[in-house]
Amino acid sequence: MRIMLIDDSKTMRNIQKSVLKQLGYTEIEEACDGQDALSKVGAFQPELCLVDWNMPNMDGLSFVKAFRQQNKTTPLIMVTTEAEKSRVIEAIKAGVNNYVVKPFTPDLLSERITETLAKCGVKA
Amino acid sequence: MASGAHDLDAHLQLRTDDRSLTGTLRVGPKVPAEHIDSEVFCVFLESRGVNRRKIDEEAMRAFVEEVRAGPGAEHAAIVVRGTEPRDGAKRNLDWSPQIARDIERINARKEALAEENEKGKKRPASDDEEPTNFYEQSAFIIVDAGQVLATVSPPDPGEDGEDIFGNTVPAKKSPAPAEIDPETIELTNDNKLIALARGRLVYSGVDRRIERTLRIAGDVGFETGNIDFPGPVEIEGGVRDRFVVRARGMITVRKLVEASTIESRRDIVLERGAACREAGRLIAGHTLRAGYLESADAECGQDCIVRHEITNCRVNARGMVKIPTGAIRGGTVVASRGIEASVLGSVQEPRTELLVGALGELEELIRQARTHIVETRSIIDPLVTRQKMLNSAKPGKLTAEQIESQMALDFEISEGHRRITALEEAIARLENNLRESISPVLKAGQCIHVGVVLWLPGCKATFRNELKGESTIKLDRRNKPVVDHRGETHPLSKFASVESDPRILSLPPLPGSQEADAADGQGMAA
Repeated sequence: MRIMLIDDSKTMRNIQKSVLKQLGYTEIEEACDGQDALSKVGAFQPELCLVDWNMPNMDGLSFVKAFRQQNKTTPLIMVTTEAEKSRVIEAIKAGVNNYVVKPFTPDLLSERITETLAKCGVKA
Repeated sequence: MASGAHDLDAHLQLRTDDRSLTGTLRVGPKVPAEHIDSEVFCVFLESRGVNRRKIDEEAMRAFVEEVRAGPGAEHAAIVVRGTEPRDGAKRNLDWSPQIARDIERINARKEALAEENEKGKKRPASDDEEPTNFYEQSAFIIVDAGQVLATVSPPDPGEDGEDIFGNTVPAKKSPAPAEIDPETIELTNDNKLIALARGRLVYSGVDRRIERTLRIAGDVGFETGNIDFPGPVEIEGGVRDRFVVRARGMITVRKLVEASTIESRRDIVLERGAACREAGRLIAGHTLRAGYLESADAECGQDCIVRHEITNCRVNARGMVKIPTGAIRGGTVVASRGIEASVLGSVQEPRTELLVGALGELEELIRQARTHIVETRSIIDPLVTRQKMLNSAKPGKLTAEQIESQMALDFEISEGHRRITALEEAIARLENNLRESISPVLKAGQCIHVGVVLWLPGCKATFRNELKGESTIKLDRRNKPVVDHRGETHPLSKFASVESDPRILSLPPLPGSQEADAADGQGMAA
C-alpha cells in the first residue's frame, strides 16, 4: 500500500515511518509541506496520507482542501498537536477521515490507521 | 567361342592384384599360334568374369604382338585395368584463435626456455633482461566445458572405383584429423570440436583429449610455469621457489614444496612436506596433510594433519591441528577445534605460541556487536536522563514544538533499546555458533616444554615448568583452565603462569553450568 507522510519535521516523519514499517508498509513517500505533497501525489498516487497541520508554505488544512477538490476517496488522517474540538471539526469538514493528536504512541497511530482504512473500505 | 576358351585353359591364366584392380594375362610357351589373337584372349578373359570395358585394348594389342614375336616362351602383361577409388581427403583441423594463440605462446615459451638453458641461466636475472615470464606463462592450455576448440574441414566421401570384374571398390572416407577422445571432446555435425569437460587440453601428437586431472611428471618450475587448474592436480615432483599452484580440486605433491604458494579449494596433500623459508603460503579449503611443515604460513578450512613436525610455522586451522606422534616447535599455531601433539615446544625454549578454541571471524563479529551495544547505550543514557527530567518537571500545556521534541526523544530512546535488543539477540546466536565451532582443548602426548605460551578463551598460560607425560588442558565449567595429568585434574596455574587475556574471546558460561556452579557454591558453603 502506498502511503504519503506530509510533515515539515523529519523526525516526525521518521517516527511515523518507523511505525508504518513495523506494520508492514514499505511503499512510503515523504513531503515536507502541502505544496510539496501536491506536487508528488500525481506521480505517487497515495492510498493513504498522514498530514500534519502546522507547516510552512502550505499548511495541512489547505492541502486537504486542495487535495479533496481532485480526489474525494483517498483516506486522509490529520496528525497534529491541534487538539481543540473546533479545530477537529474544521479538519473533518475540510475532508479528513480521522484525527491523531500528538503526542501519540505507536499503538495509537497503528490503531487509527487500521480503523480509517476499514472505515474507507481500503484493503490494507 | 566358349569351348575355344576352355581349350585355352591350359595355356592362358588370369592373375589379379588383391583388390582386382589390374588383371595380368599369362600366356604359356606352348600356346597354339592360331590362338594368339586379341579376340581369343578377350573371350578367355570374359570367360573368367572380366568386364569387357576394363580390357586395355592398346595393351592387349601390344601383348599379342609380343607373344607372336616370341613363340615358345612364357609371356605376361597387364591387359585389364579397373578404376581406382579416390579416397576421401584428410580432414584439416584449425584451432580456434584463442587455442592457436596459446599453442604459439607455449611453443615460444619452450624455445625461450631452451635458449635460457643453453645460456646456462637457470632463472631470469631481471625483468629487463628476460622478456619471457616463466612464472606467469603456463605451459598448459586449460579449457572449459562447452568451449569451441577447433573447426574441422567437412568429411570428403571420395569416389568409389570399379574392379576388372565390374564390382564396386568402395572409397575410404576422410580420416579424422587425429584420434579424438569421445569422452572429453565432441566432433559436432557442423564440424566443430567442442570440449565436453573442463581441464587440460592435450593437443599434440595424434591424440586429442582433455584431462580432468592435471598430472605433472616432474616439478612445478620453469618447465611448467604457475598452475591454475579447475580440477585436481597431481605433482610427481616438488614445487620450486616462487611458483604458484592453484586448483579447485585436491592438490597432491609427492616431493618437497619450497617457498611457493599452494592453494586448493579442497584438500592439500604434501607427501613429503614443505620448507617454505617464511615465504611460502599453503591455503587449503578443507584439510592440509603433510609429512612436515617448516617456516610455512598455512590456512586450513578444516584440519591440519602432520606426520612429523611443525617447525616455526604460522598455522591457522578451523578444525584441529593433529600431529599425534610429532612435535610443534616455535611459531604460532591456531586451531579452532584443539591441538593434539606429542611434544610441544623444545628444550631450546623457542617461543611456541598455541591458540586453541579461537575462531577469529566469529569472535570479531561478537566484539563488534558488543562495541555497538556500548556505543548505543552511551547515546541513549543521556537521553533517558533528559526524558526523566522532562517527565518530573510536569510543565503546563506544552507547545507543538515541545510535544514534537518530546516525541522525538521517546522515539530515539525506543529505537536505541530496539537496536540493543537486536544486537543482544545476534550476540546470543553468534555465541552459540562459536560454542559449536570451537573446542578449546590441548592434548600433549609426551611433554610440554618451558617456553610454550598457550591461549585459551579469556586467558593466557606461560609454561614455567616442563609438563611431562600425557596431559589434557581445557576449561572447566567456570571457564578456568585446568589440566588432566596422571589421572588427576589440577588448576593449570600449578604448571604455568595463568593470566586473563582477551586475545581469544571468552564466552559466558551456559545457563546450565551457572546453576551447577551455584549448586557447587552452596555445597562448598555447606
